[in-house]
Amino acid sequence: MDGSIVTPQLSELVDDRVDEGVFRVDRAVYTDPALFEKEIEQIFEKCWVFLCHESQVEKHGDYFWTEIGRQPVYVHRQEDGSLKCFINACSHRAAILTPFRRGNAKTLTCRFHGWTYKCDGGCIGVKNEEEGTDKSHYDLREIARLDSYQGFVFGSLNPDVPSLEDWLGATKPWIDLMVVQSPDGLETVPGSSTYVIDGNWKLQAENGVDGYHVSTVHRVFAHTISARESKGEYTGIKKTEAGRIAGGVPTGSYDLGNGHMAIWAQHTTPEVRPIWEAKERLEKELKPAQVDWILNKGRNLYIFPNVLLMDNPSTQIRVMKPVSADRMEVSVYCIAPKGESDTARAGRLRKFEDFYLTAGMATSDDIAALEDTHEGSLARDARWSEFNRGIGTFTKGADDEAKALGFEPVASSNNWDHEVLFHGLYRQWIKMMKGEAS
Amino acid sequence: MDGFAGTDTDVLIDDRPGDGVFRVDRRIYLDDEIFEAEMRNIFEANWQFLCHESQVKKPGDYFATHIGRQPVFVHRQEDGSLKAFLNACSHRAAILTPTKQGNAKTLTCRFHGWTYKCDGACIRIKEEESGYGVGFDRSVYDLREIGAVASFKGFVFGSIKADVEPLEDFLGESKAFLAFVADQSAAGLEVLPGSQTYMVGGNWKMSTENAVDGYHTSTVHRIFANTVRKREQREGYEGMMKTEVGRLAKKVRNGCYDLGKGHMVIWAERDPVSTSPLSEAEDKLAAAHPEGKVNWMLRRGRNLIVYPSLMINDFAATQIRIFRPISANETEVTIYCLAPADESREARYARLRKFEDFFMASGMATSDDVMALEATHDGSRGRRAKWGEFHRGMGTMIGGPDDVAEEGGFNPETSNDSWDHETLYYSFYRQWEKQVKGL
Repeated sequence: MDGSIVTPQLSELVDDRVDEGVFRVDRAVYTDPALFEKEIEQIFEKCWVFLCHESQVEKHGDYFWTEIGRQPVYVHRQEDGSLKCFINACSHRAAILTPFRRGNAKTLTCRFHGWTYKCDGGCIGVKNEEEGTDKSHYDLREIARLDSYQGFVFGSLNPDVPSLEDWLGATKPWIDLMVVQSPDGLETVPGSSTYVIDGNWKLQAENGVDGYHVSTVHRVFAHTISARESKGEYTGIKKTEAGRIAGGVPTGSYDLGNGHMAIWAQHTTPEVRPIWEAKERLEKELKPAQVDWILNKGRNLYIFPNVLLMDNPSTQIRVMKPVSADRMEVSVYCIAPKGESDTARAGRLRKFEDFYLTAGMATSDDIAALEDTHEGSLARDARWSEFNRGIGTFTKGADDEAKALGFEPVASSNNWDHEVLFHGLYRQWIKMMKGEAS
Repeated sequence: MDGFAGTDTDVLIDDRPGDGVFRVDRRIYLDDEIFEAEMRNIFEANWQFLCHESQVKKPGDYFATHIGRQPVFVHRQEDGSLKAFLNACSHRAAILTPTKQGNAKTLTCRFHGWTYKCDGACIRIKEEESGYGVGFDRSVYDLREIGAVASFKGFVFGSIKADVEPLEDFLGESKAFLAFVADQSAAGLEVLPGSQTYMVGGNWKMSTENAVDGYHTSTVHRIFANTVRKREQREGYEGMMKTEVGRLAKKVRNGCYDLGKGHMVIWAERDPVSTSPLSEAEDKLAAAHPEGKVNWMLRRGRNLIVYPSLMINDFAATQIRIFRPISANETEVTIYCLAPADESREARYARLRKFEDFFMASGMATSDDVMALEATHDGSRGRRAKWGEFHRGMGTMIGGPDDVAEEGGFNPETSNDSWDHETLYYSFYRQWEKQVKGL
């Protein structure tokens, strides 16, 4: 024991001995700057990364600026309705080209020296151009791959990745559960919230699908909401289902492969959910198992490495951006079925604010817990974080619930308190860190 | 133990007193790799000050701090003993102490609700059976105690490594100076409520140097002295309410000691002694201690550095100051006022006001120190001006104790007859170099 802060060998970071009841992760994975640099190169710049939702770039000229790892990129809707994605840097001197996070522009003109680019990335204006300049030399750099699944847009800097559908694998039926809620699909509701957490990005990845913390971290949320609702002002769709937080309902968790994970919990009062108004239509259009999953099971889905899709009290896209080993930026967007009633939309938004906004009553507690966890991870001589809850009771492959919906997880647990799903996260992580997979 | 790699020809400390040279390469304040080696080989491998016993008085009292970069907390046990633990839940590492300082017989993790007893035992796992089965052995998740905890006259130290020399050996000659403070009252010392924490945009070693640098006083604190003198004339401050500004400006006898093992101290005669809050206890002290010791406790102000980063100050007021290295370029400083538990209200009042005047970041002296330290750190980036000089007073340095050291019954490595001199830093940098290089 020497209090070492020397970067440990990769092979020593994930202690994966499930047969012996052990799965634990060296806390250096959260704190070590050298490992962080490697994550940017080996993970964020090597695989599919979530960029935005198609409804955020609906019309010709709509653009959306985000990051892949630390590289700024933007998605731009083309004249023919297709999408392209470019490195967000002027070919001249690298200035960011998009004036806003999100907007509409048929051409983009650099604020610095006035060069102009068309929607398709073609360089069409060089200020005080010398005669005979071949401007196409300065066309913008498109990223290697861009694709979308059911409106969710992903990109990759690395051309050598599997097809998006193969990559998403078992998460697809989970994404579908959100998309089929309206015949017209989903839309992101205007507005977003971006905040910084002084902690490693993987802590948020874990937290988004960690059922075990809910009854501790969100106890105060549950009590506050029950007290508020007992005053009688909140009825029907305005009610938040605080009962679930205290536990005692059927729950489950899945390792979906490729580092993807999901948890669910049974709603005790599904009739307070905004989607309840669509019950009859859903029952007509969809398979019974889908209807059951949509109406009765609150769900959090994590798609490796940078996005969480949540459908619990409200519906949310949560995007994580790694800033440094000890800091991440998180952006949240409310996503909703197009065409829902005003009452349902109002209920959805109020519940979004209550739980998911940093200004709300739940996410703020998560942040405090994550920051405390990052800080504690600096105690190098208490080396391991434990992921062995439920290691003796999980099912390899699909359980009955998974079979009913029709997806094939790597492992199923009949409890969202369990930690077997994280084995998939850290196996994917270590594989990519070692350069063994993309 | 890995040391700073550098290159074979790297001279960090140019230690040639025979040639009249002692200087340090200013990269020691800037280099990230050296900083890593300091954390690993100095802070996380040796005794570090944690807190004062009065901050964890009753069973259940805890105090959260850091050893190097690792969070730890001290917890007072039911039997009155102290234990110290790494401050990280065994499950997923969350910090366990809800506040910096408080009282809790058990600590429950805010994240997943695991509970630990005062003695570190894991006594509750939320939903244990459904997660780990019946008859699970929770003791595998007991908290990790740090390698060693011990206290000397109320000052509590800890080490992450178990394999360290006994605390008293580590403290060496600094023990006498801790006693000069701790023995001021039969009732003991107490840390007063309240503290202040501030950041210095500079390397921690500069703060350590500054704490025992008499030479800067008449420059950096000239304005403090002038301001306080004017205020006291105008508002008629008397007795112990007066700040002893004479010392800052005019000649009184002073000196410095290299206490060995990296510990060091400066001192100056109090003039007049009556301005010290302790002066009310003069008769009691005379009855309880030899005259030489009383001279050191009452008649000489002292700044002590216990290697590497604890300052105990007994000049205008009394203070514990802790330098916590954050990075090569940043230091977090926390200060506490320390006082004899049974002093009069009048003495306590005077002590606090003088503490505020001088030691607080919002006061009139420390703010000037912080400016000087940040300017020094910035100047160190001028790499073509390579060396920080420490040879002032080399010609008047004497090996072993001088007359006043003998009176105090301690045995320094070297003595020097002016607190302006820089010979006290030698064992600090020798010890530092040895440890940073992993020798």
